[in-house]
Amino acid sequence: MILSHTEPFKTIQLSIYFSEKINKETISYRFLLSNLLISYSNRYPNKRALTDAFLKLYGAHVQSQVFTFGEYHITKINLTIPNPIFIGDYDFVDELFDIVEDMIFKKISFDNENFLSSKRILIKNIETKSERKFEYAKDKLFETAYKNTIHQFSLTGTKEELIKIEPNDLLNYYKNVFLNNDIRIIVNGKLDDMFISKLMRFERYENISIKYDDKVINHEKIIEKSDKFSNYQNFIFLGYSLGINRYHPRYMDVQLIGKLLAQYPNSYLFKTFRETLHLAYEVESFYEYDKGDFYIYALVDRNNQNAADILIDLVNNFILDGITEEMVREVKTFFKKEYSSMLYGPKSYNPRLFIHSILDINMDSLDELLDKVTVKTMNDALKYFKLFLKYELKGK
Amino acid sequence: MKIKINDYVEEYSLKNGLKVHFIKLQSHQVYVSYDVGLGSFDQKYGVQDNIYYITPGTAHMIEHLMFAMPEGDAFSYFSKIGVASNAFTTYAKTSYTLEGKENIEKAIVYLLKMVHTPYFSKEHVETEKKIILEEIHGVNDDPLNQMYQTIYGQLYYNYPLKNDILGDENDLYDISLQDIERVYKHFYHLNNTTLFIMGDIDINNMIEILENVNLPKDYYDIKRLSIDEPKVVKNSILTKEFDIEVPLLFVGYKYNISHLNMKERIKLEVMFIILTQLILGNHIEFVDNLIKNELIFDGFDFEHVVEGEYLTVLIYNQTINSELLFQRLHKYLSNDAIKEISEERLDILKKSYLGTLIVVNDDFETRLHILTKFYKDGILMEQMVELIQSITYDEMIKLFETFNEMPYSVLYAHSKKHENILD
Repeated sequence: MILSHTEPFKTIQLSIYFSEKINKETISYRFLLSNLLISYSNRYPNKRALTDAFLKLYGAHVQSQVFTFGEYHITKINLTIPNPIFIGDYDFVDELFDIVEDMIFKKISFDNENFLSSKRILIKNIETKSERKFEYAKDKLFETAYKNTIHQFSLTGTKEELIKIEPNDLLNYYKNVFLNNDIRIIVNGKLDDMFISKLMRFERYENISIKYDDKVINHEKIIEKSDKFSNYQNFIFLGYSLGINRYHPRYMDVQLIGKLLAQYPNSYLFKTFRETLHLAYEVESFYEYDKGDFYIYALVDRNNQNAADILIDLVNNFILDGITEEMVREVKTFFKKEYSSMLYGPKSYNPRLFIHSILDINMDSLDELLDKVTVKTMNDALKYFKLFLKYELKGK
Repeated sequence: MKIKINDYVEEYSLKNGLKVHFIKLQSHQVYVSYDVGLGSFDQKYGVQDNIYYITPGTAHMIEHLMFAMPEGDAFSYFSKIGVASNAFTTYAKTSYTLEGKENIEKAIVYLLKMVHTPYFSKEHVETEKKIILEEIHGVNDDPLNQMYQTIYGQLYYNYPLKNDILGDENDLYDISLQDIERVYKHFYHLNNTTLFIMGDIDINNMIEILENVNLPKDYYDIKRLSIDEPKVVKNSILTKEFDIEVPLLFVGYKYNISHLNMKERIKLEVMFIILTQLILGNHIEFVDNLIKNELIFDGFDFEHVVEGEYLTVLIYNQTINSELLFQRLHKYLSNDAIKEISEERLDILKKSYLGTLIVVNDDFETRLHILTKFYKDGILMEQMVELIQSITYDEMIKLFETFNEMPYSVLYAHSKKHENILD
């Protein structure tokens, strides 16, 4: 169990991570489990009773999430607990942990009522995905960029797959596979001895078994594709294949290039694509470093047919012009500030600790990492940028 | 239950006219908010004997334009010195924010300079409109936002809540450089701004720096004028198609609160948050039965807006049949809902809400935002805790009775694509 003493926070975050290799056959199982597991417990046999139980525990709440990292499919259960130090009551912690343990690790069966209720919620979630525009667009992007790989599948699975799942199939999966996943527990907050002693009951569930495979995706051909959906704006995605992952010596350089390109108000595309050409309100970048890929996206008027090509030209210009000393200085200053801010959110601690744990790397000091970045290394990193994807999800 | 979360605010009025509030606490960063008392609700005001109107979207547009400085873009300056800057417009104010540690003093001084340097041009106004238009398109692409605006439009004849903070496309075209300059002149002065600085700060040093900033002395006495708004709803029922897969039911309530002082309004907002949970939370049998009967999928969502002279409450949910859901909801609220209110349940909900305050406090930006919203009315975290603890069963019953008498409007949001999703 990883315990991080983050002194000033008023809450404690307890995260339980279940990881296994992505398997198309079990994507829907995990999506359904993420909802069903936190809907009831053996003692509180439905959502109504469980909600009532949580209400009595000072607003403590539990959330679940599914995501991938590299070839792993991860289910995260996160418990937010108002710190008993600030409430002056430790008694509720035992009751809370009883519920969580019972709910997550000790499910005996999946009764029909809860099972069907979760299924209905998730089927509706899949059916309404196109209303959650960015989520839908990102699913379509990955379907295109990672065609014929395990990353092409949406983590919600399909409606048809979900409908097919029977309670007993899911129970078998839960008992025989899910509970035998790599399980890591990470806790941060102002942790005193009393709380830690109560927490230790979860230690026996930990199972560290993953040896992370250091792979990136190779994109052999350039993909150019567009789809349509009901929207006023067009989504433009540009994908750059870098082959640079977290272990690579140019990893930090790419992080900084991402900032310089489109992640803060003084970034290149913000100044050019948005502020000079007025083509978008939103232009951003994100780095899928577990796959070695870098993306830029923008939301533009659907009547603008040339925006994607203009965006490509601008990125090409950025790469051609290269990085200057001044840019390095500025972006390092900004990154330090941003990193420090990120450290200062209770919910951002555990995800970072989890990634470091799964990659089996130490938390280097930021200054050490940044010291290795120079104009030369950043310009070298630019050489890795190869456009492999132009994808437009057009509004109609 | 003794909750130990207090904010200590030190308040100063500096020689140069600047009002500044310091909230000293342990943090890695310093959080700054320079608030201008101009929000989307400011649509009619008087200066001396003249009455002026403000086109919806104007406050938001000024917020966009403020970052332009004669020497270049202020964003660039803040980025270069490693401080994050942002701005947002709410119903009541426009906030310019900073977050950083190193160079934060320099950044605050520049922020003050930026906000008090009007650098507007016709060309800039017109080009910024193009960016804001894309922002409006983005917002309009969200069906939930469309439904919010529709139900607000049903509830209100003239009240500013019916207009989006960004305004709409027509509003945007109507805003001129002259409008911008006039509204800026009347609202952006020291009599209508407050600086909040939160974090691990040397207050004396900061005061010395701030006192030496040259700031314009001119100010206007703005008289905010209320917009005539009938107490009844404009349109009590509407069926409308949206680009959605699953129908929704929206029920909106309006309630005139002009007779209440600010503390009473804040208490009323908290009481409504607790009331809607008491009678329609996921722990309620009525809600559970709707889920079991497959009329809804999950619990209800709520929105509470207490701003200006009206309180607005929205109750909404996705459903397979919005008309049938309304029938059931209406019958329940008129008959059985009151039975869910008891002293014991109220105590549980109060405890839960206090716990939620602790959770919210861990997000420093949210904490500063809440503080700037309520501080002017004398409500800090300690008073908020007292206020929640003071809510009684009798008050809650009385509020429920008021709630059942409040004018309401119903929106049946149907799918353009399907008559009924389970057909």
